[in-house]
Amino acid sequence: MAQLINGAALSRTVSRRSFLAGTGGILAAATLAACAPGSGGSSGSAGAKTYRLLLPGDVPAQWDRISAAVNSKLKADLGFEFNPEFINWKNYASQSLLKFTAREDFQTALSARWLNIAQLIESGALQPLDDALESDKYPNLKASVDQSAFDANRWPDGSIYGIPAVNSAARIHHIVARGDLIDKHAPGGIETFDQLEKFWYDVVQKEGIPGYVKSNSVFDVLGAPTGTLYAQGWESPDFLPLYFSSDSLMFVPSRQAAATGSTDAVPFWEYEPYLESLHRIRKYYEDGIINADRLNADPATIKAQFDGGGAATCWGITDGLDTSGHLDQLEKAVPGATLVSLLPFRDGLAAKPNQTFQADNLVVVNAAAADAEAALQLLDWVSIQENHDLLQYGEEGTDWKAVGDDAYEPVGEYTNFPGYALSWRIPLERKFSRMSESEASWFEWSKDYENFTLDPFASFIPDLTEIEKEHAQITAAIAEFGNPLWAGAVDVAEGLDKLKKAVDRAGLAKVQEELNKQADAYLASQ
Amino acid sequence: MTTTETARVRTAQPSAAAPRLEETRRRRRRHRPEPFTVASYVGVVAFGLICLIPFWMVVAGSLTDESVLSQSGYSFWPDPFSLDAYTTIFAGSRVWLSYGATIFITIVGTAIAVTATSGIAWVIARGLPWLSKPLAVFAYIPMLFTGGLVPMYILITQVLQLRNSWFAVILPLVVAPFLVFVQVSFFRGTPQEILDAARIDGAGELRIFFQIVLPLSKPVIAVIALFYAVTFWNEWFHALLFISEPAKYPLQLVLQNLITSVANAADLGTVSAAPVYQMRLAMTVITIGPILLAYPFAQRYFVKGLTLGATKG
Repeated sequence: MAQLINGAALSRTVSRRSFLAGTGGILAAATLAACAPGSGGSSGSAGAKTYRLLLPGDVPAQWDRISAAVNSKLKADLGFEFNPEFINWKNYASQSLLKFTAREDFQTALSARWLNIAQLIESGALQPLDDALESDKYPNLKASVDQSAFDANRWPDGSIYGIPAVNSAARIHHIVARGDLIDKHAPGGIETFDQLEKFWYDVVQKEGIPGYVKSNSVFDVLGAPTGTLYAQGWESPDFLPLYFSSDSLMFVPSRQAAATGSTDAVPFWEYEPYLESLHRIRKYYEDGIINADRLNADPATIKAQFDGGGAATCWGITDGLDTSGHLDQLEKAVPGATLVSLLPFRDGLAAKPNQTFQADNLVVVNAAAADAEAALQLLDWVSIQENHDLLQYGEEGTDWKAVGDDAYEPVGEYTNFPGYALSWRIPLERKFSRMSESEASWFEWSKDYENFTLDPFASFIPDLTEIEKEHAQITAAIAEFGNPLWAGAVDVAEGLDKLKKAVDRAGLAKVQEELNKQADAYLASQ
Repeated sequence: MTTTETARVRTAQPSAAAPRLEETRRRRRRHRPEPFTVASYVGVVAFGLICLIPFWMVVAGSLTDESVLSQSGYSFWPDPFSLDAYTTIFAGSRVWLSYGATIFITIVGTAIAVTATSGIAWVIARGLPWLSKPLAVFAYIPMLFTGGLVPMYILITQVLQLRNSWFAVILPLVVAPFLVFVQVSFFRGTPQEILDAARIDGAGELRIFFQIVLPLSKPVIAVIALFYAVTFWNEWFHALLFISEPAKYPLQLVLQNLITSVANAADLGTVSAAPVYQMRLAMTVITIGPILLAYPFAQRYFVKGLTLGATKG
């Protein structure tokens, strides 16, 4: 111990206090200066204002080059620049809510019912857009978004809080399948759900890979109106379940609700086709048709599995990204592979599924934004074809080239800009030049509002205020007992029994009564 | 002659062999491991394997070709062997920048944290009237309550203006109350006689702290430095909250992003069709590798420091 103490040093009279303080101060100042925050605030190059936006997802490859080009044009046209902050999808909901709660200064963000728009509206965090949209200041925006899309996305208070950023009238959940495997195992093609099911079994037995892979989702099983694994939805896609939030309990309204004015919604297990669907999933799980890790598999892993040739089909939605999202990687893993978009409606392209036309993606304007008008100017600016293309596809010639009037062929590395959070507009979207024939056909079909039936509860958005506690407990019960059912991981009778007991204890009766009360009131107001 | 000698030796053997054999037996008995020792070794080796096998699977997976990995899952040996993931990761500048960020956060963060923790702990351990107890309470309260995410977010981004600064990651973790009390316990074990002797020799309080207390406290400082270093190395949440410029992302945030999204793989390197499964595993290896190396260096202090800190006071 004594050797650790330097006796000679003790007798020195040199004070270290000032030396330490001085050195520490200089070091701290230097490091703080070295790591000072960037110019994420409000001043951009050459004194131009820079506005922040929140975008979900990942920084696209080559983003620095494209954002410089966009900012250069934006500055010349509108006198300001933008600086998007990309937040990973997994953290987007919580991070964006935190930034809204802290009243941070940013212009726009993505929101929707499945995110947290209800909370944001209730707390006054969003700017109502009615006045702006009624004015003549934003002609490009108004020209590129159908009025019916605005009307379908009005909040119950009558206001519009977000610009629908969609590239089709309705997004129908469906199946993206390996065309080469269909040619091999179902040479006559797949037009019905029974044929699809047989194909899955053939693939499992003869190829040794799962028929269908996806991360867990209630909508796969209890369709709204279609679900990949929900057979009845492909027969008659004529109703949508009601729910307070998509991670909570699904209710089935009476088919005569619109005529009688009485919703009479019941929990999903009282609807026979849903029950049958649960048994079907359980069978698929046991037979290896679906991936056994549905409960905890993340979408990225599932995509990599399908793209690597590890499954015959995966999930898709009619947003025009089936082929572009998978084909390049799939071809590298399985030379000669092709893709087919399957929507096995009994009535084929004549089907008229029920839809609410509520957008999955709404671009909302932050009430705490430094300059809300600039936010709307930006939304108008990206509604011009040239600007839209620059942001969405990159620089023409370097990143893409036009094919015909409405298609593009990517030739560079720029990809994955989350246009659904800013710039998706139905009339401006270009098709991927290698889009499969089946996808092109269904994508065109999905853009036409006339191909769908307006659901009787189209703009019904239930209010949680009266049942917040019960709703939270039911949501927890669904997470514990419902999710294993959607994954097929538990026996249906046993799992359902546990779920029913849990939601009963959580206050099912009160929630059901409240839902029916609000839905009846909605019907009466129509 | 030789024959006679040999014969003598041979004839002498039976009489000398008996005690030698006995000695050998005794020695063998003495060296024969106890059944408990054998069981302990078997248990420890089995436990070691249980810990090592998943790590090895990660390493093997990171070296297995993506096409096999995505279709057949993990295997014990990398077959076919592929360095694609490592090539892709190190092709771009992102991982190098992230290493720089993580190393800065870890070194500067640990230095500040050890300094702050030692300072607070010494003042608490001194038992000074009007200062030690309030400071102990001040250090103790955050073990029970925190201000919450939103106030911290507002403090860091709007009051301190530390958005996109690595200090936004460092400062919230600079004082860990638990480690303060570990160090307080250790400091209280410093012999009072040594401190008194230093005072008689004319040493001031600062000199006593720097030249007597700290040299005597190397074990506990090594332990808390290791705890802090691991915490800073593994930190991603504060980076997620406060750092939005990809060039300033620490390694763990890059890994977290990669795990949650395929598209991030394209951002790491220069190719759009990156081997996603393989890259996740390779990033894990790259991320945990360096900090694993810190343990052997701190090992000689580790047990002593923990034990002393845990039992005294």
